[in-house]
Amino acid sequence: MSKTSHKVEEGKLLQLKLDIQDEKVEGVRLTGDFFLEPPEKLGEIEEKLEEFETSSSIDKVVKELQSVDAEFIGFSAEDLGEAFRKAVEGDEE
Amino acid sequence: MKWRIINEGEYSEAMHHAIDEVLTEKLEKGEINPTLRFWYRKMPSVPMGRFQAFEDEVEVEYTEEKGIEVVRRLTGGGAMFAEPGNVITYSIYIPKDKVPEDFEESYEEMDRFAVEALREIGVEAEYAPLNDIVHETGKLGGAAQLRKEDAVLHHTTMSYDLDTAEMLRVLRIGKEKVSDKAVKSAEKRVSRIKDHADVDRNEVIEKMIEKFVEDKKHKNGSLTEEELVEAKSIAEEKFGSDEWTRKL
Repeated sequence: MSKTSHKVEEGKLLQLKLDIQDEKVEGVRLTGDFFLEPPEKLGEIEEKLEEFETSSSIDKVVKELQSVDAEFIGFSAEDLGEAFRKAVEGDEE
Repeated sequence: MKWRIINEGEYSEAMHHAIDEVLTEKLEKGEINPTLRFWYRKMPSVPMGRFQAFEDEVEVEYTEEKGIEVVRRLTGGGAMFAEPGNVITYSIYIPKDKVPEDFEESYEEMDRFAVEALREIGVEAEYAPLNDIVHETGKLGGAAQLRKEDAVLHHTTMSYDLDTAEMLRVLRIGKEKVSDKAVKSAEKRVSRIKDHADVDRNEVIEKMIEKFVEDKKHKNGSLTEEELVEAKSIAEEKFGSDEWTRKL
């Protein structure tokens, strides 16, 4: 399990836990004090991240997150991409 | 648009969140008037953000030992510690077309009556993005919203005379790794209405209601029997369950 806490500047806290098997993301849990509208889209965001590998380009991750039909409040797709990068790099084991 | 003002009703934390769900749904369906409701609690509690991890936010053993009711909200945002009589919480159920689309603008506008009420009693409160009400000495309170197709739930909790030492025993503030240390210390700085004005809590609420209705048609009301019955079953099945509150 690889996890990270990423505090968005002037924004909210993103806590990301990734279950990585053979360099593939197999499980994702995103928590924090952010807002998301509609809130039911959290699962879709987590599923999007499950499509990636540790070698995936962060640009692609961000693009994929931007395709989710939801409003991110207190963070952006780029911020979540950054959290993903930190988690993949093993910011905190 | 005629507002219903509800300033009564002492319930469990789970019941309050169930009432929020019921009234938001009923407004969404056009079954009720827009409503402002003040909360009265029975026990100390922790309303936590919808997307927060249960074990990261509360000292689980301590809350269980003390019988502190932890409830996951419908809304995002952070965990707060609430004590009966020591915080002021209100919910606003309002048609979506009456709320600015921009989130920052909407938070500022929805809490404006409360900020003005505080200033009138001598508390130099102001809005701080995204969802806070602050005093120069710290954070007085925070708000959170849920947006449906046609209705918005906006609820706000402010510290009136909160036991902040107890709060630090209940919440795991700053115990999770946060890269920005300045933010960590800011989160610990709570400012309380009573620190700045010697005004009875009920008078603060009355002043808030006075500001709120200033430019609105309104009548004082209660929850209906039907609303209470629906809320009671949602409180039992959802907000009072570990399945909901401990799901993350």
